[in-house]
Amino acid sequence: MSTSETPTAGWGAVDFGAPVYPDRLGGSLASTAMVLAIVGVAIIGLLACMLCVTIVARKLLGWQVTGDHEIVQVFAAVSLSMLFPWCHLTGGNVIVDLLTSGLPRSVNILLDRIGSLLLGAVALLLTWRTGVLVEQTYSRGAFTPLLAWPLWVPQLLMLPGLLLTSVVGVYLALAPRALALRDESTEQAL
Amino acid sequence: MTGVSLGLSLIGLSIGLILLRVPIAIAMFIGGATGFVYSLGFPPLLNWLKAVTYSRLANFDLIVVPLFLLMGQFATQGGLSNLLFRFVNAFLGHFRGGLALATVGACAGFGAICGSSIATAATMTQVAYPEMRRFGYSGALSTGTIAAGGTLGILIPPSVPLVIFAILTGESIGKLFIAAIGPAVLAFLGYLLAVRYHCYRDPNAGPSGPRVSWPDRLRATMAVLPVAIIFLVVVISIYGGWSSATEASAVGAVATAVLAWTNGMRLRGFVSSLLGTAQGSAMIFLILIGADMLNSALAFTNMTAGITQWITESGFSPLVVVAVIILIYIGLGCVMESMSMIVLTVPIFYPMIMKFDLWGLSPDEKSIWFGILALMVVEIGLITPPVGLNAFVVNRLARNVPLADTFRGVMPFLTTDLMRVVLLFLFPSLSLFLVRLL
Repeated sequence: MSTSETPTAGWGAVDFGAPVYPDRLGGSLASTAMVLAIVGVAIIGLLACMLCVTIVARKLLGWQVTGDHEIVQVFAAVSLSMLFPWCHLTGGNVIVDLLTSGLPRSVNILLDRIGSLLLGAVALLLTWRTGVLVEQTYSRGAFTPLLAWPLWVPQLLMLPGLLLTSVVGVYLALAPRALALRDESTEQAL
Repeated sequence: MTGVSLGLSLIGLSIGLILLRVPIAIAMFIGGATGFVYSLGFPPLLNWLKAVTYSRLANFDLIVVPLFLLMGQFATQGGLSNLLFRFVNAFLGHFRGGLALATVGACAGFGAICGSSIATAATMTQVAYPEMRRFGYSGALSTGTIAAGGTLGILIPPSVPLVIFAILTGESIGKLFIAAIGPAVLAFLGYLLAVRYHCYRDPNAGPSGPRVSWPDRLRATMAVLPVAIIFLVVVISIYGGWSSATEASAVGAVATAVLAWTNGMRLRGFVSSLLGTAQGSAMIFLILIGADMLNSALAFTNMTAGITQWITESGFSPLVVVAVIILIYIGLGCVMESMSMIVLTVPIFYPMIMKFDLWGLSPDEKSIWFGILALMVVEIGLITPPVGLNAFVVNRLARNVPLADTFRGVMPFLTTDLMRVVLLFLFPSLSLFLVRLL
């Protein structure tokens, strides 16, 4: 089985804990999930910087960033939704193996496939329902209270992360060897 | 089907799926969705699902979770654990078992800027384990100390599980952080005693190291001063009301990033920190969404009120009920991860606790006391055989020590943990005195 995704100069998804998936789709998913995760947490980091500015300004100048709470809420929703695919792809979601650790590896892999498929289905359900929310918020014309930002925009921007989580869930459930490779890379990471 | 039996069935379904390796968040989600459909039908479920993801993620208070995780990641990547270890070792290293004492101290220090026990244990294994082995420390003492010391990560503020408890119950994060300090100091002292006991039982387990000169001690102290300042700024600003927990965590994350960078973290470490935070945060938020689903369904069943009424009518002492809850936590802690345990159990146990009269405590004090008690028992689960997660993490990294030795090494620490739980159960003031004082 060949690997189409090769580590590139030590900066591929593989070098940060993602398994080397045996097909082009797996490689693309890993790279996309990694970029989304980095961007997502980088946004949270920028929010932290903004909060530092607002604290200092409030204490020293009696001024603060207008609508700082709103900004955090809106960007937190978008950025956090971008983290789910990476988490599932790198085996970050917690499972309990108390009853199953003694069973053959093939049984464990089968159960993990089912678990991953269920995760994909739940993520798809959440994507669909959040999509409906976007439509309703858009037609209702809801805005944030202070900055009057349209609420449907961050809700819409949550959809790619949620949809990708669903794709990752289904991919890990159906792609041959994908879950086994993920488990091996998690073992190595430990 | 009565409310209580429906509620218990939903929890049973969730636990059944969890035991079949379904991710915990998804198992709770499915349990909750089943209850929702059973109680109200499918359309109300679809309607409820529209807002759940956005409302859970667009939450100003909850952004503390990724920010504290980011703080811990920067501390790990920036090698701050090394500074802490060198500092404590400079003062304690020349005693018998001194390196193990230094490990406990460094774990406590690292826990003060990292809210995760597993991260603390994994980091300290890389820093302290090679040193202890180099000086001829036994495998049991080395790995047992790190596994147990790592649990200080969630007890010493800022603690991510404590933040989750605060958000689930509406309790003040600042008060909970302050209330955790007393038990954390007790835990620290108990662990020092456990190391001494190890060395008393086996004098060869932890030979003493060379004495460090006072100028070197001063240098080591100066090096860790910024870490102490970050911890103090975060905790004092939250409790002092100068900033919200979210703002304090932002300051902590930014300050730790700067400190880590000056201590040698570069772009690769920075990116690793972002990805580590992404994984940890997504795991927690998915569990919270699953818990939202399950808790909404349980709310329809009125299960907690039913159980509380049954307990009251049965004439059981409320303290016996709390003791049983603690035993349930210890049992669950042997098989479940700490965050999931808190999210799954607090919505069930917390309302019961709040209805009972316990030691004459006010509702606010009762809530804080129970939060710290629950956190301590969850912490014990991390080193309890057969599944103690910290012991496994340390053992994976320290491959030449058998797991049985690690669990043997953990036993004296576990004994002090259990004694501390009993003390806190009997004397709530151990956690509440600082809250009352401040």
